[in-house]
Amino acid sequence: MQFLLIILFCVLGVITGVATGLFPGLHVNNVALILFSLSTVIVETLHPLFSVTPGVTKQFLLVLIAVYLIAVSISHTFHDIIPTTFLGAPDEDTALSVLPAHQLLLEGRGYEAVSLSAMGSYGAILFCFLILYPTRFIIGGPVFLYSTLQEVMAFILIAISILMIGTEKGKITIFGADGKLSALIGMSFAAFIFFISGVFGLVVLDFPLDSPVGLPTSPALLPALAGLFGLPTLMTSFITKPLIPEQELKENSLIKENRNASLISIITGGIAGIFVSIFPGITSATGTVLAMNLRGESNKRQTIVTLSAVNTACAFFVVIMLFIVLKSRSGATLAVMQLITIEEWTSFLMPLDLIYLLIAILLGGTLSYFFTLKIGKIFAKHVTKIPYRLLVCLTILMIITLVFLFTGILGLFILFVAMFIGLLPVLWGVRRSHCMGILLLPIILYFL
Amino acid sequence: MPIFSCGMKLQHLSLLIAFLGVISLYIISTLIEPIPISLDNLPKYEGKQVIVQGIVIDHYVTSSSYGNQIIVIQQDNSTATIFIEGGEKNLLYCGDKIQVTGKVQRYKDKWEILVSDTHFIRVIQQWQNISRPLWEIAENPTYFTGLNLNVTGYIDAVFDTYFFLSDATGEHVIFVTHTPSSNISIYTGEKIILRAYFTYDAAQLRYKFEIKDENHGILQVEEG
Repeated sequence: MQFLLIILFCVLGVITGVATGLFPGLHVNNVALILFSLSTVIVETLHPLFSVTPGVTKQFLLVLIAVYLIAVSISHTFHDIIPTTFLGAPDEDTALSVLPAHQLLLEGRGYEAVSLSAMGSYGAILFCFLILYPTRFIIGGPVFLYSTLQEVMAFILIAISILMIGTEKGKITIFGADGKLSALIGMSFAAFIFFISGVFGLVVLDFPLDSPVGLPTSPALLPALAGLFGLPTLMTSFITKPLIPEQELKENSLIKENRNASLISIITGGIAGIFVSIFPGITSATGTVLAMNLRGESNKRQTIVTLSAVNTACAFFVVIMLFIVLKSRSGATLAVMQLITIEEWTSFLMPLDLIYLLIAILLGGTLSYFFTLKIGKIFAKHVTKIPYRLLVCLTILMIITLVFLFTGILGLFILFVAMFIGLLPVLWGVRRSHCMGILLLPIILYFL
Repeated sequence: MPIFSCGMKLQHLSLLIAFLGVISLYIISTLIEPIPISLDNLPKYEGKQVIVQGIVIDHYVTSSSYGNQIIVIQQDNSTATIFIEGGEKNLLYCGDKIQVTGKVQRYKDKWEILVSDTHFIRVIQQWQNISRPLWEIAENPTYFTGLNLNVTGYIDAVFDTYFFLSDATGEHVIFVTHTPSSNISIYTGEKIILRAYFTYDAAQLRYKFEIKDENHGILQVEEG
């Protein structure tokens, strides 16, 4: 019975993840927040139903909610490629893939972008399972890499930030600058975006925000990230009015043509995902930049595979890190940490709750892979019939509404300012990931 | 290259609004100060930055490999847990009065205050500087149990490893123990300031003071 309930909550989580993945702005963190605030009510409601079932205690029901949340977060990382590709509406995790995926859409290969992403995500899950134990012994005892890293965390984060800015390839040709000078200006502008985002983060991250309708208060990150990454792309999509051709429904040709490259993308993406899950303030976008630099090759298809691998590997390893270093690195794991008692994974055997969550990841990932392909196909078939601008406009309205409902007027102002900061890289032609200064700068200062 | 071509005006306008926006938010943030609240009001301030004060009743580092600091404070009949992730352990003693600035959150059905940095914990009064009359302790002994306290009183009777302390009226008397090595020199009727640990002695079914570490001791008071 216990196992059946885990399967059931996992499937429900995958379905919820489809919804959060498809609707930009409806982030898994918000679902986690709502669910956590309702957890007591859910447990009290469900417990009488299972009172005669052995083993289904109130504590186990909390584990089921945790399973559900992890399934949502895994499913979300699969499905968020669909709006990224077909609407050009990424969340902060898929912001880097919006260009390659959207380019493939304009070539009539939107479905290929989706299937590449699904392959990257699922491949990352399998890779993460393979390296689960080595990672456990390196990050935790006997190597205790995390403790060592903590001492030099600020310097590692500074190095990553410098690498991000230093590898900026965008050129800014103001005042007649060209060649190396324009590249240098591009790099300087990237540094400027990093710092203005960082100062913005320092100012807003502890803002006391209130939901005007009594919803659980969301942190300022919701409007800040929606403004930095979501709205600028949606506005770009709205303004540019792309002419979307009929879509081919071919499965991705990459597997046969370039199997090794995909494998490398999944492995580097998976390793970068671990990296992202260890370091606070490092997101999948940053992880992808690092992974792409690490593998030393980039094309739009490999960028999609890598980013999806980073994204899913990160969702996988934040769960593992929760049990190894007892730190939450995502909204979902923060909620899990508050729901159940986390037993530190110190021996060879895994804590039982971690086994339940790993079942959710494996089953959720497998289901999500097929769901993503199916839903991606439906989108690809009908994308030319979709009233594109109306949909983008509705998505923008939905983000604004969600921000207002969760964070009120002050949240809307944060969204507004964040949007203009987020527009800077779009308008000036540098990478958006520099906006991650919003988290990196405050965290660097914290560790210094 | 930029994703869509646009005039220089939009580029510069964005730059200007982003810059002014951050400045405006900074000004707003300086106007929104954390709210001073009492511990029993924590549930009303979930997710908000608050300032609370209380007496430290427990202070430890969690036993996991990546120790976090936990401080439990008490104010009237309410208690709250202060959570500080990692960092250097604050130098605090049970009985110190502290002020904490942090974010209110619910953790496993309990209210706690999440503090981002140890600097947001300030000792307002060290326990040695908070003088408690014996009658106050006698009225609510459980409130003070487990705290270091600073009490003024008169030596009532002296023995090898213990003595009795009473208030000026003799209405309240308390048992005080010390180790033979404490080298205490007192005599009956003397007025003293006692700095000791207040605890419950289950074997003797009574409350008592213990002089047991280097922070504890006796100060002789000259009567004017």
